[in-house]
Amino acid sequence: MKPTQEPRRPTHVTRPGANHTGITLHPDLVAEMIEGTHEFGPTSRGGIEQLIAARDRAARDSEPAATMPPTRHLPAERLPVLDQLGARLAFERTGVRLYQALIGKLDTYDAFPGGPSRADLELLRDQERDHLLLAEELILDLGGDPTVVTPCANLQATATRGICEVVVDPRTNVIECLEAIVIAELADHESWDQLGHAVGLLGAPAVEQRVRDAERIEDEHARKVRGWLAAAAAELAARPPH
Amino acid sequence: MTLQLLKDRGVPLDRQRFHWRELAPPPISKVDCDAWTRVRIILMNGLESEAVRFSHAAARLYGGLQPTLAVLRRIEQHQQTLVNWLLPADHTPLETTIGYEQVAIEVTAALALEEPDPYLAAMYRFGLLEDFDHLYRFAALMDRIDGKDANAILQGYTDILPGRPTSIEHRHPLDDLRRPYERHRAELLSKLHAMTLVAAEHQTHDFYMAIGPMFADPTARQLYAEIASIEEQHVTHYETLVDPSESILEKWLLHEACEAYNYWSCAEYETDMRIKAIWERMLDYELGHVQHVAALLENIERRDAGEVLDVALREPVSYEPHREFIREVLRREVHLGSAGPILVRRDQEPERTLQYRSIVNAKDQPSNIVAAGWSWRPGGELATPSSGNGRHHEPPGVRVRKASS
Repeated sequence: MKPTQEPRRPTHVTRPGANHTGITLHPDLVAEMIEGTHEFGPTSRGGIEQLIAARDRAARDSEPAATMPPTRHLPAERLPVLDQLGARLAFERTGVRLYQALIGKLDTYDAFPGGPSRADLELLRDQERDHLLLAEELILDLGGDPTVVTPCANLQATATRGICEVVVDPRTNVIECLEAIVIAELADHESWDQLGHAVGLLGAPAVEQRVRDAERIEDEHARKVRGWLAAAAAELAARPPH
Repeated sequence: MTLQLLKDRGVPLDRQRFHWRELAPPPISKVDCDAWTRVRIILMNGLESEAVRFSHAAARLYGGLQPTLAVLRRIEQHQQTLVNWLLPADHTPLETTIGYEQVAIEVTAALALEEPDPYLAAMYRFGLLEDFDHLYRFAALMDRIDGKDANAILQGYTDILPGRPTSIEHRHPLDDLRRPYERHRAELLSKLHAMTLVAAEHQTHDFYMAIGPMFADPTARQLYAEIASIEEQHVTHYETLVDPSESILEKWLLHEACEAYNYWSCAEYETDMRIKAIWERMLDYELGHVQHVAALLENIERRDAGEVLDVALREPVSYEPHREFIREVLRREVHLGSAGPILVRRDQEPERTLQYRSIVNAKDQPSNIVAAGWSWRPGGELATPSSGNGRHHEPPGVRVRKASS
């Protein structure tokens, strides 16, 4: 349901504002800070290698962050495919939520020339949902459990945690959200491609064909989002902020 | 299988030591661990955080105790670190939240079932239905923002269903005050139960206050604000069940006994041998604390610690699902509210509570927004097959019993 209020114009976040983080705003303060580091130097010797050595030691004591469930009834060669399918399922589910949030943004902020229409985004949302259901179906076909958080699913969720936070943040506009979503789309396409290779190794041509179909659609998603970002860049260049 | 709080002497204070590597041990696996192990870790972090909180409050009121409080408090803080650092970095704040609510539900249910005092048991069931609803709201948030299923954390042990709706849990502060147990009459078990729940709810409040601003979604931010407010009510609810006339040393002794009781329970049920060894070590440390504070009680107040810790503890807190008990409480008691220390039907709630509720709910009701039309299903609401597909997506072997209409 679209809101009844008038949409906001896209905000130029690159306009001059109140950013306080750089050193050029406070050169005297920074000079004093640098002077302080000369008087009060480090209290321990060495460099980054000690952090790396500590990681190495901890890694030798660590168990894997996640494994697959006990699967006595499944051939072991299916597990890598089930792991990757679990990741696609989880990623697509989050993808639907991302596009639902982005459609909401489009209702809040005006569209921009060359940017996505509501229908464009609804198509992508529905295709993410189709891929979610495809992953579910293939997992069931291979004898897996689609509710499992597989190791690959958990890893990708950790790696992409910030994307969702960008898109549901009321302060970000459509263009900023597309900057985040392009990361998801590029990663998603790459992951479907890798899944296609894994399924190919399994020797299941019918499954491979369906995975490749999804991979092509995800490739199209990445192209579309990159195109919208290019249009946004052109729009910002044509109408620079005052 | 008993815990003799004064006879089991534990480890003396001067042998209770840690180094940094111990304090940041390898964490559990988010997806490979049994959910009960996570529940125990979260609960014991709460007990230790209460130990530190209590110790600081006591130090501000009783200057003469400051040296001995400082020595024990350092150990408790390190114990808390060791326990809390068992949680892994791939837990999102929302996933940890789901774990916190599972603690609140399952531990409260376990204590309500074992509680010998009918008034206290009723109060535990009252709080239980509210935390039960929080789990449902947070699970909806997780599904609708992240596209994740909260059951990956709960592992099927705990239902994801509406309880007493969060939007009507808001009460005037005076309607959260309860009637305390009487220290001379109450059983030791009652005192330990109340203290356990104060600790669990207080850490939940503090956790939500810390992580609430980390969310970007405006309804998520409001939901954490709303539920943190209820957790503050719950701290009041549970802490006013404790007799305020207990002396400071009596309270301190009970705190240490409560930690020992809970570590003992954790060790009895733990299935992960590495974690079980931690519970056993911490139990020995707490028994050492009990000895230390018992001696203070005897030397300073000239009282026998045996009059406070007057019985052996025969049953540990149980770590097992309470599905049927909770559903029965839900059916019978979801309609309750409170008027001061008395539980009443919701249509008998005081005017002050109705007014307060109408003020906080005036603009938005985030707990209702987030779960509008939402029911849990395996994999989340997006996993529902589209019409015409006809294929069930329950895992192989799962049989879903349809509710009769």
